[in-house]
Amino acid sequence: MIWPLHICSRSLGAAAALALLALLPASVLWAATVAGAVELRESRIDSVARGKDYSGVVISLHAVNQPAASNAAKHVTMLQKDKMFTPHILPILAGTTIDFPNADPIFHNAFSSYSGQIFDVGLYPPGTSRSVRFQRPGIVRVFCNIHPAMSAIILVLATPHFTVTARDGSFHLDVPAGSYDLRVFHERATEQTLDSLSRRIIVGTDGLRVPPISVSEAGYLITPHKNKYGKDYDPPPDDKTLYPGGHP
Amino acid sequence: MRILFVAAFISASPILRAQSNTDSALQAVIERLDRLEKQNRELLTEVQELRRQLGGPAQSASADASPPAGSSPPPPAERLDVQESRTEELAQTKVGTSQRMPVSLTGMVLFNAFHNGGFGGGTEVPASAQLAKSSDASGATFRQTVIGLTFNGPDLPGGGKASGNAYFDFWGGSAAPSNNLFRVRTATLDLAWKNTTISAGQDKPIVSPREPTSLAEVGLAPLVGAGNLWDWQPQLRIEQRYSFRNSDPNGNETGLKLQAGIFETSEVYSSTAPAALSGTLEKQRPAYEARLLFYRGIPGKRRVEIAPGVHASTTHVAGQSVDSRLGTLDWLIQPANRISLTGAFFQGTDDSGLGGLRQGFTLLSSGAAIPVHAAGGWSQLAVTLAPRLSLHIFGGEESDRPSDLTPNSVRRNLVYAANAMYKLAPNVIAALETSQTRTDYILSGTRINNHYDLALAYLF
Repeated sequence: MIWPLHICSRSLGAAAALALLALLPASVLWAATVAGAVELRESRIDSVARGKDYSGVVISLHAVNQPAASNAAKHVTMLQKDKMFTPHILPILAGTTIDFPNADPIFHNAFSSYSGQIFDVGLYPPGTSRSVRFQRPGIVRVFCNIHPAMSAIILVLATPHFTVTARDGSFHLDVPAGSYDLRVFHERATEQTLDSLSRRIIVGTDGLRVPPISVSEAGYLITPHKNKYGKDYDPPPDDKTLYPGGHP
Repeated sequence: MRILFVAAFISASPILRAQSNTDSALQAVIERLDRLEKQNRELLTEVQELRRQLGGPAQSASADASPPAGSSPPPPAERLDVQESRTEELAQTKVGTSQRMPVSLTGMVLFNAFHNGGFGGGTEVPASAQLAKSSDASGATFRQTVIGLTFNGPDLPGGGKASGNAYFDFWGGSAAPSNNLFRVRTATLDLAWKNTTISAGQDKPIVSPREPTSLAEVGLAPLVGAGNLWDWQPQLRIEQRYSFRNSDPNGNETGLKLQAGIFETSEVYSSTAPAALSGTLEKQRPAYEARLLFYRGIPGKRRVEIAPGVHASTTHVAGQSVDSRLGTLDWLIQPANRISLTGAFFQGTDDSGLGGLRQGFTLLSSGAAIPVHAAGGWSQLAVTLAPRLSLHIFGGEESDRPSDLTPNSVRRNLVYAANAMYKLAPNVIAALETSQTRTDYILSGTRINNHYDLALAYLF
């Protein structure tokens, strides 16, 4: 913690105010805003190409020459409802625990077997929850072993400075002034594309407006994933019928 | 001073021109780079698509399960923890089969408590109001319990797969609790490839695959004799699928399914026909059926399905042939996640072989056999009021042409019903259903029967 050195005041009130300020860490005192906007190009998704929905892109700032942060002790939630993981994209600081409450009236599962941190919370009933602590930075692709259409991405980061773009693509982050590596993650962009978007920025005390970031979705392919045993999913139970052997 | 300025301007002109030329050249280079970058991305897409088709790893950013390049593999301890938890999950008794193919046990234990009005005919689930009045009847039964076996595999040549199911209940025999016989309800053996499925089985007619949602009527289909052509009969069918928007990233799906096959009818000798000729009826006849389903699915569980169909068979009775010809239409309209409208309609002649009103032909006093013209259908509105609570309102009727009928035949059978279902647990459903059946008899008037049913189902 760094303390302000130059306190100079003629009145007691001003001195008290400055004394209060002195109790705050420098990172808060010198916080600056990094703002910008992301545009998605060459998308085959109607809501993106026509609706200009640029949400869901993760922007993270990694302080240069500073050790990675990984000591988060907080819980965040990824809800299972209406056979969907919500939110679909969830960036977290390494060390964070994610709770997976099941708000559907059916059983669910959550697992990741292939990248990032692997885990499997097993099959669990409605109204209950399971938790997993993510300790290593990486991209964790989450699926449900019963419902192949369900998927989500947990982006485990070694920095506390991250955000997800709004629908119009805008973002802003409050960070201490300094030098950072800006990185971009978008689930429908290739690794090469994302690498080319990384850049070093210097944030002054008056903040920084980042030039527009244009992310191409060229090369994005939809391919089915396997179940948690690495096999093809069984045909899903026919939920169009009330009971086994019934008719829709 | 002015001379100096002019001289300076003249001397600077070539530099400005050169600057202008440089800018335009730079712009051209940038544009060319943009074009090359675009071409590069298109080529990358093609390469990935080719790799995918060849079965190789697709270096894409899609939601597949391939690990990103450069990511370190999970530590062995982490992997071991996951495997141990999965082994524990699998530590349960399995159904073993002699062929070592996985078979799953499924079904529903169903308890029904019911009350019928005086025209129920003493049956548990009356299809029509009876002509003669009797006393009200109440009771309870487990006869509608369903037990099923499903299997998935093995693989077939050409990338296909064999799968299927068989479902049984205890609706055979009589209503006496000690005389409920185990019987096959429906069964299917599917040989499926990417766009084609060949099925052999016992199921509803190809032209009438839908029905209302009910736990009161399971041993017989809901709306029997009131617009739902339901007979579960042996059949052989082929289905060809055409998808117009394959792998649409937006989740839209549009396509056609063409179904055609041979269906074995279940011919019924009308109770109003001369008993002496009942032995002349061929009990089963082949029917030829086809149905064309058009579907359009939109994200958010909105969906539209429309399917016209045709049925053709010939009933053999009293040494004569009676044509059974039906045109059908069924539909599903789901404008939102929680609301759906389903239904079916048919019109034609001699529908008794498919589960109609069981009076498909009339034997005239002259000895001639004529087909009974019939029209019918049903519709259901289903609303999910809450995640655990759903409401179903449905009704249907069959009307047969009076001029084709003899006295005491049914001219019209109308049933309307409503039920509320509540999920006590994901697999435990409680349902309350009420229905009214109004049956019009030629020369005998209308009979009305009320039916009430309380059901408790455990799905497994």
